[in-house]
Amino acid sequence: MVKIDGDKVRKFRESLELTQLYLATAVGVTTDTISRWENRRYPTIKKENALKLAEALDVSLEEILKNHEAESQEEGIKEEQQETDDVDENRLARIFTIRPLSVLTLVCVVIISGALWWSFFGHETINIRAHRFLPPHVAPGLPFPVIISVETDHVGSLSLILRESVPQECTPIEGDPAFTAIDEKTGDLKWIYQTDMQKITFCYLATINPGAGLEKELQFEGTVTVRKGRSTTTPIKGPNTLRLSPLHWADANGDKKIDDEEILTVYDELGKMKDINFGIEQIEDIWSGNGYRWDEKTKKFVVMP
Amino acid sequence: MFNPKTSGNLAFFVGTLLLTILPMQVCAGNLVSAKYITSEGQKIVMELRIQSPAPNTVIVIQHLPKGTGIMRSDPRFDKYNPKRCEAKWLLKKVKPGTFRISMEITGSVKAGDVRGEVRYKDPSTGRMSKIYVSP
Repeated sequence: MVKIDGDKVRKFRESLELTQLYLATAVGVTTDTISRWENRRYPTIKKENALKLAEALDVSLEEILKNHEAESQEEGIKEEQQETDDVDENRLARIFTIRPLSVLTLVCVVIISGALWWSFFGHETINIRAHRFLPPHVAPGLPFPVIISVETDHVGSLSLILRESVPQECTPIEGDPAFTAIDEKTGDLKWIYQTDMQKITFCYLATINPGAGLEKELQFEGTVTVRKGRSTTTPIKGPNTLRLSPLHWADANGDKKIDDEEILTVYDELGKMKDINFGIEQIEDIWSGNGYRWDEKTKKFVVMP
Repeated sequence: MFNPKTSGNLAFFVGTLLLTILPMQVCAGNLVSAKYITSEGQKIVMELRIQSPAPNTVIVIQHLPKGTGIMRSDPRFDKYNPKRCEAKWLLKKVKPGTFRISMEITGSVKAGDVRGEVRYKDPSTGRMSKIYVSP
């Protein structure tokens, strides 16, 4: 650090008809700094700045130093800092370090707040309802239908995943729409479906292994997951227990007949299964006739004429 | 406390409300209506009027006097119980509009001897509805 003579600096500059801006540019400081150097009697500045200043004024360093004295020692540096170009450097430091840091922090806070808001409130909440139609009973070895109706209030395109966990004794035969996947180990069913309809019906035909014991109760469970931004998973409601018995699945009240209400239910519910043969001919035969009986030998129903 | 004036107003309000709502409920349930076009002699014709949203399937029941059989019908009946003298039609994939069932019977009947019944499930509620048809 050196002490310069401000008055000399001004005189040299004015004699050369230089502006403070020119000096500031040549030294690499602001015009305010040059002004301050000139207005103070003996400001202390960095030696490298003093050298640049002398070069710009086309004089030797000694000519602008206080009384041509050699550079001073570091004593007094701290107390002079407020008066010297360090003040400018600190200010610059504030501008380029502190402010950007504040701005960066603010930006981060805004981004994180936005992300949190988006994750909690930014997505549309989709209401979805799923209901399973499952017969109350079924005879082992004979196919039976399961229908899952999915309804939503959402208008527009929607992707959903329907998972149906079937009991071990159950073997799925075919689905409408076709199954996207069947788990080889568990036999669980999965549909991945994209639709713009508010009501979708998934149907499948399955059978219970002929060796399964009568009166056994089997459990079905499933969920529907909708993905539109955030995922929403809903359990499939409705009947989920299937009892094994020598009764036709369409004979809901188990009186070994299919009455008018039962056949209307079959048509209302299973009319949705357009491409699956769930044995409607036999159901109509039973309805038209006088009931049915279970033949233990053939493991089939016999229609009573 | 009981206030005759207020109670009278309330009763009037409830009565008016019921008179307004009840016919609406009846209308809402009348998805299917039926009447006999012909119900005497050897030919019986029943006309069904189906409104939207139409039930998926409709069962029509024709009760006949004892000892009476059906020679032919259009459409063909799906079930006939000779003990009850009762014929049934299972009408599938029903659409809104008018639908006629005609039949020729053995013997001759008087207008008051036949009666019909229509059964269907309301598509919006899933409840079974029954309507009775008389000449």
